[in-house]
Amino acid sequence: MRSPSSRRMSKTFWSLALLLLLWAVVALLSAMIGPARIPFGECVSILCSRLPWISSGDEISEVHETIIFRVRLPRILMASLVGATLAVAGAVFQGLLRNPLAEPYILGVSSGAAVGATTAMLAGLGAVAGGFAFIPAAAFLGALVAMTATYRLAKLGRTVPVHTLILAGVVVNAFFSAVVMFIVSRAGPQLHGIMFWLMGNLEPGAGAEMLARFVVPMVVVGFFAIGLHCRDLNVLAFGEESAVQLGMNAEAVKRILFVSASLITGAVVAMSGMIGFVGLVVPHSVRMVVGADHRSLIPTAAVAGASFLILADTIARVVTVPVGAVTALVGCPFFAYLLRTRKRMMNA
Amino acid sequence: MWNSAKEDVERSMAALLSVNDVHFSYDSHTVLRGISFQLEPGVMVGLIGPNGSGKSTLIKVLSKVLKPTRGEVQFRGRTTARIPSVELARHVAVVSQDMTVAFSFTGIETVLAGRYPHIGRFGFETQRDVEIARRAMAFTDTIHLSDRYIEEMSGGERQRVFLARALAQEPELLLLDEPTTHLDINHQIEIMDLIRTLHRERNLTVLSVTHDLNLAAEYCGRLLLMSEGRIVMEGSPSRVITDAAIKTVYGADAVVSKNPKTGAPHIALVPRVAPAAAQRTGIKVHVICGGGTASDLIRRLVIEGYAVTAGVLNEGDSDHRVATSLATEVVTAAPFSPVSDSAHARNLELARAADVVVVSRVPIGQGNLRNLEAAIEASSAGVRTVVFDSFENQDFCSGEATDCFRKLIASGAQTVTDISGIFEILPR
Repeated sequence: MRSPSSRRMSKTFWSLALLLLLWAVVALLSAMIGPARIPFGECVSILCSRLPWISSGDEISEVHETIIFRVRLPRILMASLVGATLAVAGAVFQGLLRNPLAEPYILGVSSGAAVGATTAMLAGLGAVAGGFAFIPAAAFLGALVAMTATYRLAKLGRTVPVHTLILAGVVVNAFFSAVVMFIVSRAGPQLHGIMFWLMGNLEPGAGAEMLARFVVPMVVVGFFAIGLHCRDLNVLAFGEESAVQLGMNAEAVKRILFVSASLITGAVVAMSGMIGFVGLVVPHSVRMVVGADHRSLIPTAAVAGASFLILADTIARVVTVPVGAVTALVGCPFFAYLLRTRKRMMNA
Repeated sequence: MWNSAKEDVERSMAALLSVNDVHFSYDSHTVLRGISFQLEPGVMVGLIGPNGSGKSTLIKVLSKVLKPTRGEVQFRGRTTARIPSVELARHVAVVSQDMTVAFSFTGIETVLAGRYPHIGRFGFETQRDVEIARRAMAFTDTIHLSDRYIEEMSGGERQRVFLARALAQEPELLLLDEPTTHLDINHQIEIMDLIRTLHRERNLTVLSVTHDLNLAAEYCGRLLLMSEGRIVMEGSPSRVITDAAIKTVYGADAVVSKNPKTGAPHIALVPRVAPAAAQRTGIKVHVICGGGTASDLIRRLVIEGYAVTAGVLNEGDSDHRVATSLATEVVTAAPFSPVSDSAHARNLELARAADVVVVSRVPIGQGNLRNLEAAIEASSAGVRTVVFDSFENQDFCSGEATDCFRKLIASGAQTVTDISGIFEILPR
């Protein structure tokens, strides 16, 4: 008889394989779609042309090649990074707070990060030599402050009730959003660019250096720390007291995970603004398939999050709206649905 | 002096768990005020006490969820403050009443969480861990729940899964914080039986918090009674659970008897009769009874506000037990002795002074025949007397009693067929 853990492993493996395939399909679709339609065959050829050992004899339009490599592929990779990060951050916040509705945007963490990032941008720190570090660092700090504020506000004695956490998130979100508006209104000529970024921008553009040197390393470090604590997240689901009684240094683990989740959230907000609900929709959908074990949930949520945001961004490109609007349009009904079905839990 | 200190040290070395003068406060609210006790390996001890006496807090202190504000807890002679949680969790497991899980984990996933302290940060569950988890589930009869989700299980099933999780920790000491509170009585017994089997077969040391005194008395060899953050009594169930202790600690009236099957103390709570209700009718009823034939009647009479007297009853008779705890006066004879002259005289006085005399379906033999004579005298003297109509079966002195019953009826006594008939006759 196969052991339950090997059954879980194989289920996770197949889910991951399938999701990676889905990611490839979505990415390819996204590369084809846009103001210039690039046919499937050509698209595949262009993508393969840079691989030395595969070269098809197909005709490749140089314009299309430029579009794919300069415009669409960077955007697809960026959406993948941001989507994966937000999905993982959502899963971690949900696990940490034992709350299925937790998510960086809803908790106010994203707007906290936005305050940090806009402050750094307007202080001109981005322009200083090597100053790109300041924007994601400030966003991380902002995320941490917002997270702490929400948590402290929601905490009743030794517990964090589901509904008070959401209320605290609403308040913190409102406050930091107001601060962002205040800062942005002082932006002057930069106003348009900052507003555009704020609503969710997956164009690396001028931020490419910041992305490569700071954002990606921050996300990698965060993912690594989270990856080491997946089993702890499982145990935390039984409550903090039980976790201690099962041998966890719960205080330390919680701190590490809060900081890690804030770190990765801050990093991607600095890069692409506030994109909400990815961290809500994706972990939930994935949990229904692979189960609640975070060792399966976190990696599958990352891959699924990447596909989800590519898809959302493709729609955003086609109808020319900010990607944050697309994710919110999908995410809000989802949130409402969870709120209805989890009522029993909310009252508990 | 030096010697006794040395003995103390030795005793605490031998103890599995040693709690020394533990105090605990939440901010300004003091919960534990100097708790000291020891658990020797292989004991099963119950921790009882009213709500708010600090039992659950004590369990949290013992499992390092809370840090004592003063004093220390030692596990095998080492202070737990210096034992990392992960190491302590390999020796001490806790089952609490909180069985909520934030996400849909299955039975086996839940039990495998018990292996957490045995697996390193970079490790994975091995085949051995799965083996241990499955054995724990087999023991608590939960194998069939392996793939079921926790939230789909009944309270009893869930509790057994959580018990399996604790066993998967392979502990020496099991701390139970009201493990049966939310369960139906059949499941309560089931869980406690399981724990007792564990205790006996695996020599597991158990400390169980419960507010069900009967369960505690039944299953634990030793009890600690807590009140207002202190241990006020410690010892065998029959020593700790007494009417007096319950009155002092819980402020409740209780009758402690013995469970006829196990001999463990058994508590029955007595509802408080409002002082206004007691004897509110001012009507005196004298009951002639015995052999448990009038226990219900006496209780009902008292509840409905009559002043009850009874006699003559032998000591040890179950009616005697009920009457002495409820009636205003009971005429008592020594066990299995016939009614003496003096007892008969007092019985007669009470019967004459009563407004109503009731003769229960008491079997009449030579020893208590005089009670019927007392009833006849009272009835002849004009006291309203009630007797059951089919008295033939009550005669254990070859016809003499039957004659007496006939005389009684001839003297004007009324007959009824059942208890409610009596209450129809009684003035209100």
